[in-house]
Amino acid sequence: MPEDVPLSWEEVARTHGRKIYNFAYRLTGNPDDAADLAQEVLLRVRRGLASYQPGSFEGWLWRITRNAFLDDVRRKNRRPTSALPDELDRFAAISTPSPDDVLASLRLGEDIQKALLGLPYDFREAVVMCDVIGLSYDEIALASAVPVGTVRSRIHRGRKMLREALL
Amino acid sequence: MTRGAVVFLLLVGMVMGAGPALALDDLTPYLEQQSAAEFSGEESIVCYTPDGTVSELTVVRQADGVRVVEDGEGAIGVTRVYHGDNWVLGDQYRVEVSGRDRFLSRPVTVVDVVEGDLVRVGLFFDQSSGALLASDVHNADGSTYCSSRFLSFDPKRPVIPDDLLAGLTTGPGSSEAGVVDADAFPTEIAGFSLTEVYEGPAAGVTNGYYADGIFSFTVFVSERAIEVPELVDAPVVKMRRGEYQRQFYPGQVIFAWQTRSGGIVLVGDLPLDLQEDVLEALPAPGKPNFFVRFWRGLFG
Amino acid sequence: MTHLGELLSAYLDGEVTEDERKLVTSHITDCGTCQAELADLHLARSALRSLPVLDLPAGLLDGEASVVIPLVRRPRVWIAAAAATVAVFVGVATFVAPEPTVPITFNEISLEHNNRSQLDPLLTPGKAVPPVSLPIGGAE
Ligand SMILES: [Zn+2]
Repeated sequence: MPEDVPLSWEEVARTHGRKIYNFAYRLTGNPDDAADLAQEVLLRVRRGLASYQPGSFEGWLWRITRNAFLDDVRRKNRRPTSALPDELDRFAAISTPSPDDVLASLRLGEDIQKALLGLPYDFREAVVMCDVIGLSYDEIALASAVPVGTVRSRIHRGRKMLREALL
Repeated sequence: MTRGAVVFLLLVGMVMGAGPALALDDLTPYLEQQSAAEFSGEESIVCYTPDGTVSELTVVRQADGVRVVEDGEGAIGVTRVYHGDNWVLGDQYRVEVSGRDRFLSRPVTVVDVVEGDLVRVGLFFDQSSGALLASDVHNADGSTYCSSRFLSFDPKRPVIPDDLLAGLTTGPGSSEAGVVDADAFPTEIAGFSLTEVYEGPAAGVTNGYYADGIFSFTVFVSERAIEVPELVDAPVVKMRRGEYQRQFYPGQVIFAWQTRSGGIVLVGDLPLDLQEDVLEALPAPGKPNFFVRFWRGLFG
Repeated sequence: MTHLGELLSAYLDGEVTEDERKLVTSHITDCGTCQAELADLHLARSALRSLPVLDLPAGLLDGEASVVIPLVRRPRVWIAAAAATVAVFVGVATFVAPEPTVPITFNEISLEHNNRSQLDPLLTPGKAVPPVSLPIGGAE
């Protein structure tokens, strides 16, 4: 599908403000932090718009968003962890859950948010970009400055960790 | 013994095993068994659309001719399943039992619905319960449109809570039948036959159901533009005859557009090429003329 | 034979080549391990996608916050956004008079259609379940 590149500040603010807010909220679990971040990012996008080179607008936007987010986290001294849990191997053998378990775990938005916050940052970011925001793997790669193969792997492992946490 | 002979014997064995007169080229017995089956399981459906992939994982329970489908958003679909007496398979299709296989470690019968050289649909029926465990739907160019797969399957009769049955409508269609002028709908559209016409679901809307035995769609027609709130953000696509709003869901697509004389919404499970064929046969997108709008502006 | 691993996630997202897709669909047919893993991945993915879309706090966009926006280009059902949009839905705007429209919801469309699907063997979850959301406990 051809991508419409918004050109004006108003369009960007309107189109992306809500996405950025949801992104930040799902990564932090905190509405105030998310609101601060959305404002901060919009400011940066506004400044950066002049230097934007036509290309993947989504990728560019999310790169800015991500950098602003990380700066914000550093400033607030809540460094995101990116270490892997030791026991990743246990994800190798997960049995198929019963239908009732599936439904029970799916219904609870709060549980999902909690499980998400338990993921190491890189994985949390990858699954939020993919499943909450709806970015393509290419756009996530651009935003996070990693190869697409890494994106694939992070999304996969992120989902497995999440599944484990939701059991 | 030739391979053909082996297949033949296998098929004969299966026919005998399956009980009363089961014609090889007939889908009816499979569909009857499928609607009578009792089971629960998780089913995944993935569709490859021009707008990207859409997929869904649902929990399915079926018993007593009622099918309950639930997904992670708490959505619940409760439908009656029964094989309609008026089911007719379109002339373009040929049914071939292509053999036996295993799926989820269970013996399945593989039934292909063939159209010319194209395997339009592949169906995998569980031999013991009759449930449809997997299906593949193909576009005219042979590419896959949708695949469904049970990922877990339990042939035990599931419990369906009474409160879920409350939402069940009593018969086919929730709108009133027979009160509208069925002549407004062509009896045939792109190889699909009109089987039912209803009034509803809103005042001034009528809808016609079309089926070819494998796929089906419903056309909703109104003299006014039809507004579907969920489609507000749906992509607008340019097709041969104009622009349509289109939204894909797992296993289902919706088109909405305005014509010179009102609005049309189409919903169905058509693969991509049949979507085009059907849209081609329906009134093209267009704006109502000035006087129509002026008149309505004055008198509503 | 090695199992599919991260190919399964990519498959769910449609981020696979045609060859990879074929590999997945053929392997998954008779590999219980990968079937179970696909179910797990699908569950996690659905869980994330079921999270409600939150509204921007009022005032953040200086009065523009109430404007409802599409959040993704790729198809995804944003129930909350869609519901909120009902309020601001504008039909076909004309300079003569607003064109009156007939509202029907996706739910009604789906119900009408699905109730006749006894003439259609491919009753699938997508058809049986209109993507209509029941409230999700206290997430917003
Ligand atoms: Zn495997």
